[in-house]
Order: sequence, then structure tokens, then C-alpha cells
Amino acid sequence: MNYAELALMLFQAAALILISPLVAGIIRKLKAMMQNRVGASIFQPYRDLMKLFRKETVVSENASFLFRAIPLVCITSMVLLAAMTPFIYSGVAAPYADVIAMVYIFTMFRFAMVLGGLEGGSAFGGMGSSREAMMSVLIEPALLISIMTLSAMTGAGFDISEISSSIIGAGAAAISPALLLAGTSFLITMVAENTRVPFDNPDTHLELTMVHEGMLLEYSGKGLAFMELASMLRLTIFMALLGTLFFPWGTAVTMAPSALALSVVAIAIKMLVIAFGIALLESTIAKMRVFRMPNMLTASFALSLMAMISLYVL
Amino acid sequence: MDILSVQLQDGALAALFFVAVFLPAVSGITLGMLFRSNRVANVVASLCIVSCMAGASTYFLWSAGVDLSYTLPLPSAAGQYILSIDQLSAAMISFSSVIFMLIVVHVVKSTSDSGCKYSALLNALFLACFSCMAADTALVLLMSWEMVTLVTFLLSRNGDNERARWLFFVIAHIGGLILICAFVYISSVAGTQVLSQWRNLGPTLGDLTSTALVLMIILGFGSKLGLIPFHAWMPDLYASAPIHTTALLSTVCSNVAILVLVKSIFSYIGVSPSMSWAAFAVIALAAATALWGAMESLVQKEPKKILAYSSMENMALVVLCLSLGMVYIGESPVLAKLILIAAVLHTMNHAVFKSLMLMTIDTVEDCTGETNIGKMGGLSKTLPILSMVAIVGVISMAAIPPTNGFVSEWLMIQSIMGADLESTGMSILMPLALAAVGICGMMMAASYARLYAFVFLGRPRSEGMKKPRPMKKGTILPMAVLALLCLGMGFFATVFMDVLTSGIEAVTGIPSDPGYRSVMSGEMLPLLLGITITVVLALLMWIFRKEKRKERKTRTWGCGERLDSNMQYSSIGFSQPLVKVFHPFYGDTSVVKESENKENKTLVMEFSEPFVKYLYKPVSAIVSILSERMGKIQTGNIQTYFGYMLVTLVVALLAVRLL
Repeated sequence: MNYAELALMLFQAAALILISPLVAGIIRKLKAMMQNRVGASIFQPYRDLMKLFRKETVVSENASFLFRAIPLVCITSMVLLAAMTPFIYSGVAAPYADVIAMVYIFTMFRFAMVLGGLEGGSAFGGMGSSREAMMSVLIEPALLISIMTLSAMTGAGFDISEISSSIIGAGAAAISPALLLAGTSFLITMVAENTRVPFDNPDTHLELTMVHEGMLLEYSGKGLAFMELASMLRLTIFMALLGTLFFPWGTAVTMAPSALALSVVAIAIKMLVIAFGIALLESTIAKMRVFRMPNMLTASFALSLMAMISLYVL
Repeated sequence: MDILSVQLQDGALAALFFVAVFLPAVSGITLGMLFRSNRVANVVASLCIVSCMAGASTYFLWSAGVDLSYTLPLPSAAGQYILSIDQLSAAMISFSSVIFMLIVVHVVKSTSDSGCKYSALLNALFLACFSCMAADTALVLLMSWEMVTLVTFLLSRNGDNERARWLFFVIAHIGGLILICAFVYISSVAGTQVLSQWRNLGPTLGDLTSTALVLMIILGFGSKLGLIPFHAWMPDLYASAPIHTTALLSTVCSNVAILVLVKSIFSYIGVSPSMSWAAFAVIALAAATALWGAMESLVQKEPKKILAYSSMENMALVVLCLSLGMVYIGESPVLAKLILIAAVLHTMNHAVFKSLMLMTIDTVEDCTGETNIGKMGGLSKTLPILSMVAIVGVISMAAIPPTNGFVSEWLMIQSIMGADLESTGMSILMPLALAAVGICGMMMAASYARLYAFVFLGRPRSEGMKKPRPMKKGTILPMAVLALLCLGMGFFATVFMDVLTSGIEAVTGIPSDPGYRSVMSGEMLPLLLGITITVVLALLMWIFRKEKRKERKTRTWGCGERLDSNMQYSSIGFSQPLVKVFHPFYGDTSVVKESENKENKTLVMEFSEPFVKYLYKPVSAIVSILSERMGKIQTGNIQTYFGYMLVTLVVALLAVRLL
């Protein structure tokens, strides 16, 4: 890895971190427009985060040292992932980046969140953590297998930076049952991981149905800002991964300026399409009952397993 | 070393080494048998520590080129007593000795009245484990394995736990019996007892026989490792035996079992292509065991039982790797090498984090007097240092980077994914193995989050948890060392892998070229990953360090209510959604219990081990009925017995004549 690539990697990571509130803002705006509302500006999430960073922190007296560390652990894991998401130039990802590490860093994020939910000894946090644990048992294997399918399919091994270029290189032949199945599984996983409708509602507070927001209830000030930023970043990373790994056409495979410019436009369009899809889903579908979720998640798991099996049997 | 070897005669250094290992321990056993006082108990335990230190030096002596073998000048009808240490054993002995030593340090620091007998038995267990790993004749191996069983059985005595430990005794002996049959048969065919001369006996034994022998050996050691259905002893014994016994049983004894297992399968017998169906059977068994362990650990009420099922899951993953290695070795020896490294490394990592967690839970129970996780909580406020050590153990068990648990799980997935197997039957296996590892990993992570959260987080749920006694002085020391090992073995995993590689190459006969890295499709850089995580986290912590002015403490928000200790999520409630999702496996868990005066009925959640209910109990019932029937021929009348003798004699003579 030379200096130009290192600079590009850091730029990609910084770009992901910086645009993630914008992505959240765009989804909210799209939803508002679909629901005939004016909605807040797409830059509102930035303002929210700035406000939270300035506010005082209120900590539960039951919380331990871990409570203060968890937002930082969460944001750290997402920063690490941002550095290993090659969404502009496919050939560069953080040197520690391999797909197994990626899945386990997601696990690290979840683990920290689950512990954080149980910190204050509040019933809401416990409920959120408990449900998150249930979902993660079904989501994470699906994530692992769908990404593994990708790496096995392309022969790229576990190197993230080689996956997209080898799919692009294969041309139309790359559109195989394995890719489609794994992509579908990843899509469901994306919606579930990011606790969007129909799995969870990111807009509610204090409902017995909530998962993610329940775990955030005890955070305030900077801690909350970090947790919010980490969630937004997680969604953006997932969208970028879907756009670069599962549908990589348009992503730059060389470092030529024209290719990079095209790639920026391509990923912007892909992310907008995904954002539109999420907004459409959230405006048209109701949230599922908690114990209906396993059916959907098991479907995602089965799809990924089928993708993997089809790769080896077909 | 040069000076030493010049001054000492051939083999003298080895003899010195064995004296350094055996003498302190043997004198420890003697002292412990003779005396009773607590002061002597500490001396006895210290002698064990000295022996462990000598044991820990094994690998360094081996790498200095000392020939570590010794023949006891004692003739025996059943064979010779030879100890000989190769590279893999040396690494395992050194590592296990360190773990053993830390556990003994914890014994000394934590228990004021462990007694001379307990300490003497610790010495005996160390010797048994050492000689089992160093054994070079089947006689020594079987004798010391039997010693391991017997000593752990004696060590696990703890007041009122006769049932649990006898169950362990019986199951371990079923395994031991299988092993004795297997090893005696092999030595009769091989014509020698010396294990280092057993090399690839498969062709001599014949395909079917060697497959059967491999299965027998796996099941034999599986009885200690907790493979289904042998796992029935684990939860009860873990819950009732002294914690240091279970710590030794689940770490050092498992290390011994895995080491001998690797050597028996891949070196003594050797893997032939015809064994693949047996390997499939073992893979299925191991995957089932791992899933069962993961599921059951989620619902246990006692932290020790959670750890028992976690041991079962971890060891099942190791056996899964070994059996995958049996499949791989014919197709791609390098990949087999990688998966064996993964298996042995995971065994070692398991020893570190499991002994750490068992000690932590022991400290918790000792300080608070609670054994039920439902009554725990809030300890991280009162015992902050313990909770910091515990969180390291927990994240390492849950395979969160950058800990050692993550590295070995990484290696497992790597070697499962690396498989490029020709025949379809094998390739369909790989995604399924991956799925099993993935699901187990996540379930265990949920279970460990539950373990940590309901012991250390939230509000205390009982009086003992509110005001725990302070920890005993010095108990934190071995735990802190283990926590550092958890991190260190994660950061510097490649060092351990390189050490294991040449050992495994020597045992299996896989050529050292190409190296294991050639089949790894990713760049494995645990050190870089660990450093990156640490640096980013430290940087963020430094930038956003706590500003007192901007922080306020208040009660947890409870909708305007003042939350009491029961108004928080319970540990049973936490795993309830998962129980609901996987309900076919748990069976009917809610039981209605009547109170004694039959006025009140309460609904309780109970998870009973179905293997005990549907397998062990019926079998033991049949056995007792049969033995009752058999009892009728025991009349106590001497004439009848003469009659029996006569009949036996006649039958025996006829049989000899006719056959």
C-alpha cells in the first residue's frame, strides 16, 4: 500500500463518516415526502448531533465504567469498518480488512450495545438487549454466510479489496444464483441489522415493541451523540457494502481520476436508490410483531445458506 | 546450554529435568498425606507451583535441543515406563503448566482451609497430566489418564455432591474403558508399546479396524470433553465441585485429551481416505454437541453451569476441527495443517479464558454467597477491578476482536472456507459447518453477554450482592495474568501459531513447505487489528475524556417510579425470546409447582437435561432391574456356589475343547 492508496483509504473512511448523517437525513426527508409532510431539512441530523455534543451528560447511578466506554467502543468499531469499506476505489481497504474481521467487528458493536442496554438496570434497556440478542443469533450467521459466499464466489478470498473488481471483471457471468441469493439475504440483513421497519421502528421511543431505541434510552449528551452517529454510520456502511460488493458495477477499479469521479456518481446513485427503497418500505409496511421477526430472519439465513450451497453444488 | 551439555553426560540434563518436575510434586504428595495443618497445605501447594515452573520450562529446554526422554529403570510385565517429549507435547506441557500454576496460586490465595489433602491431590493431578502428555508407552499413557480421572474424582468432593461426582466417575470410566480397549488392541497389532514407534499403523490395522479405532479414541476422550451423550456429568459437576477442580478439569485435562487425540488420530493410526464417513459422523456429532451446548448455556440459572455448557461447546468446536482435518488431509494437507493449528490454538485459548472466568465466578460466589444468577447484579460498582478482569474474559469467550478467542474462531472459519473439495458430498458439508460455527458463536456471545450483564451490571438483586465482602488479597493476581494472556495471545497469535505449526508438522508428517499461510486467503494481521482498535479507542477516549463539569449522576429513568431491585430485566427474561424461537429444542419448559399445603400454584421455568431424563435414567433403571434379578442366584449357600463352580468349569472345558 503506497501513500496515495493510504490517503484514499483515509479519505473514504472520512467521507463515509461525514456523509452518514446526510444519508439518515435524506431517508427521513424521502419518508416525509412520501407521507405528504414537508419534513425537516436533510441536514437536520448534523444539527441534532451538534446539539447533543454540546449538552451535559446524565449518567445513571447504577451504571459502571463500561457505560462511558460503550459509546466509544461502538464508534470505534464503526470507524474501523468505515476504513475497510472500499466504496469509491475498490482496490483499497484497511490492511487488517478481511471479511471475517468485518463480521466480528459488527459483533463487537452489538455486544457492546447489548451490555449497554443492561447497564442502568432499566426494564426498557433490558428488553431491547434481550430482543437484540435474539435477533443477532439469527442475523449474524446470515451476514457471515452471505459475505463468505461472495468471497468464495469471486475467488477473492477474504480480501475485501478484491471482491468488487473480480465481480466486475467477470461481467454478466457474475450474476449467478449465488450472488442473487446472497444479495437478497444481505438486503434483509441490512434492514434487520439497522433496526428499520419492519423489524423495528427507529422513530419510536417508549413502545414495548422497540429494540434499538430501548437500548439507547439511558444515554445522553455526548454518549447519545456517539451512539446515534454509530447507528447512522452502520446504515451507511451497509448501504455502501451492498453497493460495492454485491452490485459493484460503476465502482472504480483503477485509480484514474475519471474512474474515481464516475465511481462517486455511481455510489451516490446506488445509495439514493437504497435510501428510496428503505423510505418506501417504511412508509408502506407496518412493523412486525416481535415473534414474527424470527420467520423473516430465518428466511434470510436460509437464503444465505442456499447461496453458499448453490455455489458448491451447481 | 552449550556449557551445560558439555558438563553433563548424555541424558543427564533430561534426568535433571524430570527430577525437577517430579521431586517437588512427589514430596508434596507425601507431605500432604502425612500432615493436616493449613501451614503445611500452603507448603504442599508451593511445591506444586515449583513443579509447574519446571514443567513450564519444557518448551525452552526442547528448543535448546535437549533430548527430553527418560526410561524408568523399572521392569514391568506390561511394558516399559518411558517418557519422551516431542515439540507439540513440549509446547502443550509448558502452556498447561502455566495455567496449572496460575490455578494453584489462586487456590493458595483464595482458600484459607483447602487442607493438605486437596493440595496433595493437586500435586498428583499435575503429575498425572504431565506424564500423560509426556507418555511414550501405552502403559504410561493409560495409567496416567486413569490417574487423571481418579484424582479429579477425588478432588471434586465437596460435601453433598456424591451423585454428580459418581456420574462423572462412571462416564469417565466408560470412556477410559474404550480407550484401554483401543490402545491395547493397537499395541498388540503394532508389536510394540512404544508410542513414538507407532507411525501410520492404518495400513497394518486394516481400513475398517483403523476407522473403528479412531472412532473409539474420539469417543473415549470425548467422554471427558463432553461430547453428546457423555456431557451429562458436566453441568452438575461444574456446579457442585470446588471451582479449582473444575477449572483444572476443563482446561488442563482438556488440553491433555486434545493433545493425545491429535497424536493418536494423525500420527499413531494415520488417516486414510476410507475414514471420511467416520469423519462425517464425528462432524455431525460435534456440531450437534456445540449447538446443544450453546442453546443450553443460554438458559442456565447458575453461572458455573453456563460455563460448563460453554466448555462443552468450545471442546465440540475443537473436535469439529479435528474431524474436518481428517477430511482435509487426503485432499489438501496444508489445509489440514491449518485446521489442526486452529484446533490446538483454540484449546489453548479456551484454557486461558475458561480458567479466568471460573476464577471470577468463584470470587463472585465467595464474596457474595450467591450462586443463582437471578439474584446477582450490580457487582461492577462494588468490585470494579474484578469486573474489569471479567469483561476481558467475557469478550474473549465471545470472540470479539482483538482477543484470543477471536483469533482462533477466525482461524476456524478461515480453514473451513479454505476447503476446495472435489466431491460434492464433501463440499455441501462446508457451508453447513460454517453455519454451525456461526450460529454457535452468536448464541454463545448472547450467553456470555447475559453472564456478564446479570452478574456485574444493573442493580443488585439480593443482600449479598449489595454489600459483597472484599476480595481476598492476591486472588486478583492470577486472574489479571490470565486477562493479560487473553489479550496477549490475541495480539501475538502468530507467534503461537508458528510454534504449533512445526509441532503439528512433526506429528502429522505434513511437509513444512508450503506453509499454512499459503492456504489462508486473507491477510491475517491480528496485531495490526488489535493495535488499530486500541489506538482509535484510546484516541477517542483522550479527545472526549470526562469533563466533570458536564456530567451529572441521577437515578435510572423509570417512568417516574423509583425502581427497586426487582424492577429490571431478569436473566430468565433475557433469554426468553431465544427460548421461544428455538422452542422445539428446549421442549416444554414451564412447570406448574404446587406449594406444600396445596393452596398456591406457581409457574416456574425449568430446563432439564433431556439426555439424563431419556437416556441415563432408563438405562440405569434397566441395569438395576437386571442386577436385582441377578441377585436371586446369590443364595449365600456354600453348596450352591460349589454347584456354580462345577457348571462353570464344565462349560469352560467344553468351550476350550470345541473351539
